[in-house]
Amino acid sequence: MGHRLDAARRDAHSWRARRESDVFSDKDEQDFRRWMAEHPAHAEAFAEAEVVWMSLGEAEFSADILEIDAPKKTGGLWSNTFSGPAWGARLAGGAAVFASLALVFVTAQFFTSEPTGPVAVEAPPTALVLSNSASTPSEYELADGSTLTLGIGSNAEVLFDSTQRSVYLDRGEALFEVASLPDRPFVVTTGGAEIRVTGTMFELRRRHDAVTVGVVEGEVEVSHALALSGVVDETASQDWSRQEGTLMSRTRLQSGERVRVSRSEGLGEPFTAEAGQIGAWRSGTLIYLETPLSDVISDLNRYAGSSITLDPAAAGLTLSGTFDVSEIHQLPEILPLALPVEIDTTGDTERIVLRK
Amino acid sequence: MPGYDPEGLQPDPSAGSGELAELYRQYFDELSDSLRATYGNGPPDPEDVAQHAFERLGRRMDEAPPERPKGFLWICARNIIMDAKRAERVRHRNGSEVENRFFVGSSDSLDPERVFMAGEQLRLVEDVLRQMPKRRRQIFVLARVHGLTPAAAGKRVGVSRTSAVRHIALATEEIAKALAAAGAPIGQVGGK
Repeated sequence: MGHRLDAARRDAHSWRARRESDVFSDKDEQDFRRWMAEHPAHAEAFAEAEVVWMSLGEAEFSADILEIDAPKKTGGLWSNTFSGPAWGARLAGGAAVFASLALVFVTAQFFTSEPTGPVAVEAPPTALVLSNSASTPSEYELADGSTLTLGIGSNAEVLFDSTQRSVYLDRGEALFEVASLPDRPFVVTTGGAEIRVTGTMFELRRRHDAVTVGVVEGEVEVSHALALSGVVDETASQDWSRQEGTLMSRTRLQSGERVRVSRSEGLGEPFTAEAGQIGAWRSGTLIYLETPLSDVISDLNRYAGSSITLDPAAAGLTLSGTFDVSEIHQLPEILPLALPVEIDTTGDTERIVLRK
Repeated sequence: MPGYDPEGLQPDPSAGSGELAELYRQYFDELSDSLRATYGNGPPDPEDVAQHAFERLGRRMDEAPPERPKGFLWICARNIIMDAKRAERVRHRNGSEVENRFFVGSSDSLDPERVFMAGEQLRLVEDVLRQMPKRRRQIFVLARVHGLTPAAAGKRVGVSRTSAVRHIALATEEIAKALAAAGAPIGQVGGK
């Protein structure tokens, strides 16, 4: 009888795929363990499923197999076929997404892109504009060996020269894995904050008027113009390199720590992030821990392409929870259950206001 | 018998120098941890399995070093586990009905000849992929070739995460079935 065999194999492939999914709870893991222990054929079938999956990752498929229909929505920047990322990256986990970049650049002397191959142009260094309008995070390999992963709807500019590696995060979130080059510091500026590193992995999230920095590995220095009476010099906040003479506050951030910088409050106190929280957006999960509602709404608008506004009276509320990016559009319906707010739909756009 | 043999351990490869020792230092813990996370503490013991995988890699390094040693190690380790579970299943009281059905291939050698597919095997897989519903194929390609999570792959073609997971599982299952039916299982030498 092949029934048992077929069922074991079907279950094995299903477990394998589910375990790779972003949502696999402790309860699921327990169920999986129970299934594995039920019969030796289950563990064997699972091992087979994994070998098949890994081997398929090695296959060089024909172009017709790799064809993907363009997304229905506008703004689809996917090419119909593209080669996959390097094997090691794929084995290491599902987070490596190299495709679907919108590359807008003047010259690319200091940049090599994967997978389209390096573009070497002899020209004076000019900022390279990266804009991720795809529906998934995109990873870029920079010429110095660093990588930059841009979240959905995020933009950054990259400018490298012989003395410094500069990145400006215009909008959204980014995770940096910085190659260690002690004599060429890697400096990221955004929203008036400056993050200076030598070799480390850290994330940066920019919302309307606030930036959060989180360090995965190593140490970074974060500085921001002193918030004097709630006013920060606009030119200093927007500029790549700030003018000399601006009064700065600075802090050092260790691995696992996060800090929030806002235009009105300046540089906050570093706090410890939950394990696995930093960079979770790369795999489609947004994790909030007493996060200001204004930050959450800013993420929502960027991910869902909405333009929901927030009553300043409700901006101080905080939210904790984990959301799947694919379900974030449901957030406005969920919010009134969690917070004393309601949705005001009388205006041009939806507005979140304090419940009366 | 090149099967799983806990007594046949060789001296610690990490003690040496050279490429194998380097790979050992780099991957041994990661491989053991990954096996433990999936298959538990054994038997077979995850460290033993990892050790055997490294021994096989060591033998291969002398003849024809694999292009992707990490893939070789991982697939080798899974093959060893499959073999151990198969032996366990034979002993298992209810095991007779599924015996020798999983893999047409024998376990004469557990070294993955290559960690990627080519030739007949690849053509067979491509035929299976061509025959499946387009949406399923595209989700599979997004997940396997481009490394998207099921949620992201599903979103890309307009289905939920749950159904993307189902499509990925079904696609892989269809491929595995076709390969086994053709007597060309993946990742094992010969395949007779």
